[in-house]
Amino acid sequence: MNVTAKKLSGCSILTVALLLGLGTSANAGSNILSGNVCQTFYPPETSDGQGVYHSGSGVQNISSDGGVRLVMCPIFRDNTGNTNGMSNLTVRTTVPSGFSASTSCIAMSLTRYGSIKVGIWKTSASTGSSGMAWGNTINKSDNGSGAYDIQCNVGYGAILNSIEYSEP
Amino acid sequence: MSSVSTRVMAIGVFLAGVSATLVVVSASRHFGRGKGAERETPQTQTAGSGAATSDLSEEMAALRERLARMEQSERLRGEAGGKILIAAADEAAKGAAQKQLEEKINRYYTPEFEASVFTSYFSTLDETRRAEGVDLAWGHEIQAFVRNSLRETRALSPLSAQSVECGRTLCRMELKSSEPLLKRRALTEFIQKMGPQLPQVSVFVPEGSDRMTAYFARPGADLPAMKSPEELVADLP
Repeated sequence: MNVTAKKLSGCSILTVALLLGLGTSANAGSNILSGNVCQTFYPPETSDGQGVYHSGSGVQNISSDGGVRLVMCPIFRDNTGNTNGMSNLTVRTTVPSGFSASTSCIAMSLTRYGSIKVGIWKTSASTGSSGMAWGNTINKSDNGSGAYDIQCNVGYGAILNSIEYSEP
Repeated sequence: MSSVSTRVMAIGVFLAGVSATLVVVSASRHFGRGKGAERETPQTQTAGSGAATSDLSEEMAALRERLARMEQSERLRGEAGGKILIAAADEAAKGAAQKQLEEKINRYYTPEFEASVFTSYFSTLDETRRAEGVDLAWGHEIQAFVRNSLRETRALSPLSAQSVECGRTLCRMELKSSEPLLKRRALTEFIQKMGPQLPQVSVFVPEGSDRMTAYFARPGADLPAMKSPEELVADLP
């Protein structure tokens, strides 16, 4: 093997190693989204879509009528061949002092046509900071299609801070 | 030939030369003792040749060690490269297999196929529900809760429950939407509303139909996992 060919071979090995390394790291560990990715379920022209504020802390319900607000939070699937759902999921919320309002969320794994394979509902503490933990109970996902979704009824004053999740 | 191999060969040749030199020195010491005795005392002759032999031996040992290190380095490098290439080939094979599987799923997984998947899954849940018996009090409580929720919640107005059948832990509901465009909105609100009483859910939402079938589980009970498309198409050609 001449020197040039040898260098090229070395470069190829390095490139493959880098690609393998990147491929592995994309699926490892937890992903964290700010709660401010969540959008109101209702259009903002309606009263149900108003009073939901987005900030660095997440999404907060400051509605003028003091009612709950329904928000939808997308979850990015980066391991599309996975059929075991999420290995971990936690939604963190904070209720500022002086307020008392729980937030309830349903986390779902859906088929490509929008049917719900599995959906599990949880509720947060009504004061202070808390986390709704699903663990690995959203344990089914379709290979190559289907999405995850989180739908939350955010109590008045409550902040949906973040969504932590990982796929096997 | 690679530069490393060339270097290994050169060191080998050098070692052979050094060995030959050692043999010559040793022989001359053995056969030329008489001549040497004319110039040196026996003690100094022995001490001088002994030191030279020792130096050469050390140098040879060092060279042998260096050669061994180079050979090992070359071998490890080859093994590491081989492992990376094998891993890359495995990864490529996995990628190709995944692509092939996705193509197969896409070929079979039509809305009709999904309908049969949910029908089969819900049939299994029906069997479980029938086998577990009935908690009449709880069943009535859920029926009342559904009825009241549908009546009192504005967002649920397009929705009606055609049937609510509960066992001890599972409930099957047939839902109908009077407004096709609001079907999914109503479903979202409905499962949120049911959450405190029935926190686990699976819903078949057929496109183009005003009907939906939902299965719920009460707190503490789990809906069994439904099969994934890849399991379902595994036996298909």
